Amino acid sequence: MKKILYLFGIALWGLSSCTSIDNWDEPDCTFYGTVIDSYTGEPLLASQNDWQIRIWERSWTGQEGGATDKQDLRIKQDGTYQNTKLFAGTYDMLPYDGPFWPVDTVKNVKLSSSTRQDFTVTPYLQIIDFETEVGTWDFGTQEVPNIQPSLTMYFRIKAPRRDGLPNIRDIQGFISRTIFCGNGTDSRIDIAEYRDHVDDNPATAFDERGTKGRIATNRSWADACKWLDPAWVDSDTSPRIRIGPLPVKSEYTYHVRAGASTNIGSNRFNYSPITVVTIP
Amino acid sequence: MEQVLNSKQPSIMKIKKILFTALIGFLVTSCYDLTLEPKGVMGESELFGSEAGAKMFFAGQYTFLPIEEFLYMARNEDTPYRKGNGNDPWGTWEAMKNNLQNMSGEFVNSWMQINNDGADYWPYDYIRELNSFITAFPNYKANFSTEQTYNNLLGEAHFLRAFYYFGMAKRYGGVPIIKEAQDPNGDPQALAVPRNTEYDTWKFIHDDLQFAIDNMSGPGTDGTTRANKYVAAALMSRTMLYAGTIAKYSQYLGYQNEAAYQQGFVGIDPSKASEFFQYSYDAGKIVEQGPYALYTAKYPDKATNFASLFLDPASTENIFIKSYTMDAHDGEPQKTFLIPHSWDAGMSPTPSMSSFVGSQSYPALDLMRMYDFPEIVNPDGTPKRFAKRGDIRDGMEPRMRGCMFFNGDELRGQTFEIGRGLYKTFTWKATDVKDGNDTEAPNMNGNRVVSNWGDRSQMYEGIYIIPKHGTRNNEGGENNCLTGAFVRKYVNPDMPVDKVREHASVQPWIVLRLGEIYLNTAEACYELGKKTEAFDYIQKIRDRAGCKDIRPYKASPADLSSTYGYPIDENLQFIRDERYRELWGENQRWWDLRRWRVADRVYDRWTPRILSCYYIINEDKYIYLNEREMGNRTWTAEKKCYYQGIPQGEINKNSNLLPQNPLR
Repeated sequence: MKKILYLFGIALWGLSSCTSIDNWDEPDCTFYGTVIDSYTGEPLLASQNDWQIRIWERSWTGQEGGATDKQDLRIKQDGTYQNTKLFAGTYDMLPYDGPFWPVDTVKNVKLSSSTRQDFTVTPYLQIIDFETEVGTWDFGTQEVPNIQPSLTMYFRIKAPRRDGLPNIRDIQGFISRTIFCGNGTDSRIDIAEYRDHVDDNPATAFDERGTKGRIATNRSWADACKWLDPAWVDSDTSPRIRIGPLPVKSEYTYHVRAGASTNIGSNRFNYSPITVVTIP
Repeated sequence: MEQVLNSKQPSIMKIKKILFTALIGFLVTSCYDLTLEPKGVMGESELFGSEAGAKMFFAGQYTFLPIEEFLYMARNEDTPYRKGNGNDPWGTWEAMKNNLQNMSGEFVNSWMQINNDGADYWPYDYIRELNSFITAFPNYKANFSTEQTYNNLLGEAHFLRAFYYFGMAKRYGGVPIIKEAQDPNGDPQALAVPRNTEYDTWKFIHDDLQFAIDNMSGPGTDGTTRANKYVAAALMSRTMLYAGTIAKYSQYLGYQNEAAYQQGFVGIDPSKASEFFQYSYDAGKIVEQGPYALYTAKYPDKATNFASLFLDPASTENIFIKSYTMDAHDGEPQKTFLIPHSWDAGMSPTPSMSSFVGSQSYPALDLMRMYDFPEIVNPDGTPKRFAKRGDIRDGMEPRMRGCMFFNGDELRGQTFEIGRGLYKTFTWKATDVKDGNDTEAPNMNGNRVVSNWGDRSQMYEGIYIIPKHGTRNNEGGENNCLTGAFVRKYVNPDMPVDKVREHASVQPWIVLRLGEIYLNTAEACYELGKKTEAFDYIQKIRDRAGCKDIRPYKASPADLSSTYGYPIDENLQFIRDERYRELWGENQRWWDLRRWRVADRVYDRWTPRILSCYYIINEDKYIYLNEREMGNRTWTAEKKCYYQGIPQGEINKNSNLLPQNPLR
């Protein structure tokens, strides 16, 4: 009898040493808000998960001065962000590594259950006069024609503030089969025809055979515009830019937009609004 | 009851005896002095007080130097270099798949593409040991019969310390410079050391290496496996070139909004570039005073000569090498850190040239075309016809033949046979095949015959579709020649096929060779404005490679600034390209692209091109087409790849390491 009791006791002790109750409450507070384009007053045109609101929990008592690591609240395509699983406390917040001029960190934002914090930023570039053209194009060679439905994009880039503007890096068209469209996560069809870039050699840059979805450069604003069109006259608006014709499929519906990036941080894009195009 | 008590109660006499014995025991033991040194454990006076002791002390340090050699892993969840505890040396056969050449795009493979984050490397434990030596060693100066012996050992410690700091600087930029062993029982605030600027960090490396150069003599009895004056100068030549380009080109990174950049922890002011280029130039001149010469022992066959350069133990070009030994197979634990590598097993196809799982990595056509490469397209645009597969090699630069295997080459008694398939007929232009997929005109309606089954298992009308060594159509890269050629550099042809296995190759890794020093000097020369001298050094390399003399350099070179986003002309780009031609596969490329600040442009969704050999049935001829790598793998280096993140665990211990590196 004693032996059984001892065994029972050991077993109980053994099991209890394997469990310990986590007595820390789960995080359940919410930061949310909108990043506003200072030129339009509207939410900044963004792509899903493209960049982030970076926050630091300054009130954490586990280390003097607060936490040394940051958390990132990812931006959504509609220019808003939201995270519902944060700990209550006092935070510093900063829209970080996005396609806009640097802004100051907003300090000591209190979070107790739900706090809205909007930010206003000034984008580096704007995409204006965005148009799409659906037609057909011969994607083959002289001897072997290959006529396919095609999509061409036309737009201009505007640089309202040129003083200190980083180099223009990529000019790209984005084609997607879902509502998500841009350089963000899963927001574009990533085939070679859309990803390949126009050679930097001006002789081939605007090859009439098209099929390049991207123009890659690393030039200042004025040099880039002059390269795109030698007849360009200096201003804050670029020449009209053409992306494509790009091959597309009949009876498909695409979400389409254009973007331009600057050589700063992670080279994020500024975008045009998204257009929905159905190919006949 | 009384009876029981009596039998269990000790008698008074017994108690007295016990107490007396205990008293004697205390008296006796109190005579022992517990401060005696344990015998059999090496202390400071044994290790620092004699030449043999110091050599033993340094031997461990050499093992863990940050050298990206055959066993280095480029994944970010591994410790990249072998460490004393933890890492399983027997798991290093995985380095075949996860090596830096694969990650950096030097080799095309199906395992690894760009790793933008890197693995943590924070070797302050080894630096502490070296700091202890440097501080205490002068106390033992009287033990050494000659001053040169003493100076060599002290210089060696500085060399090793500089090497460890180099491993950190090239990853993180500025790191805390710690020159003396810290006191763990002292003031905790003193232990929270902040970062030094990147300029100060590279300057510290310079100062340590300069000490080594000034104090050490030339090669000793340990030859190329141990540091000496010229090894220190060679490392100076490389490290200072790195610092010079970091100074000159950091301004174009687009990091100006980042706190670490603004405070000088990453990036160096451009005004300092010349200082570092001059250090590199001067160090290269010192190396040239040493007993080294470019390897030419196998002339006049410059292809065989270039291949032998990496295998000949007597090569006059080796300055510093890392060795391996088959003794590790004995299982003696202290020898597993010299464990043989798996290079031959990783580069040779099975079963004809290997007894392991087969080749893993291949050179891209983009790279092949950087060398003198024969024409595969006729002037009228049609693909050139070859009577035999191996005829592609006519017109190839000897150095290229020396570092890659092509159709018709032999290894271990077998001939390479590489092809992608058959064409029934081919009446098109070469450009009608852009990617090599089924929707292209020549490949439709069954005109092209490819196969998922290799090694001659499939036939079409009596002809093997895929020859012995690839290329199967099913995208996997193991034992499937993805690009049309195999790696030859470092491959040991004298190894019998049945011995080619994991952990069985022992050819040394050449850490520093004279060829690299000439390239470092050439680049430093051009950056300092010594353009003629730069191209004289380039010509030494090209002459040994079997290439034509391209001097004089272009007086009006093309401006490539729009490609790279900063001022650079085609002469300097030629010097950079020559460096890649010469040092391809030696794990320099990744660090070069980072220090030139062009990685995110060169690897901007780069998809390798491949050289595909087809047999045309109705002509009985072969053609070579330029196609896209069929797995459509891309290498993309992000803007953050130029600096790794300071390990978060270290920041948690020491918040003075902030600000964190850019885009992390």
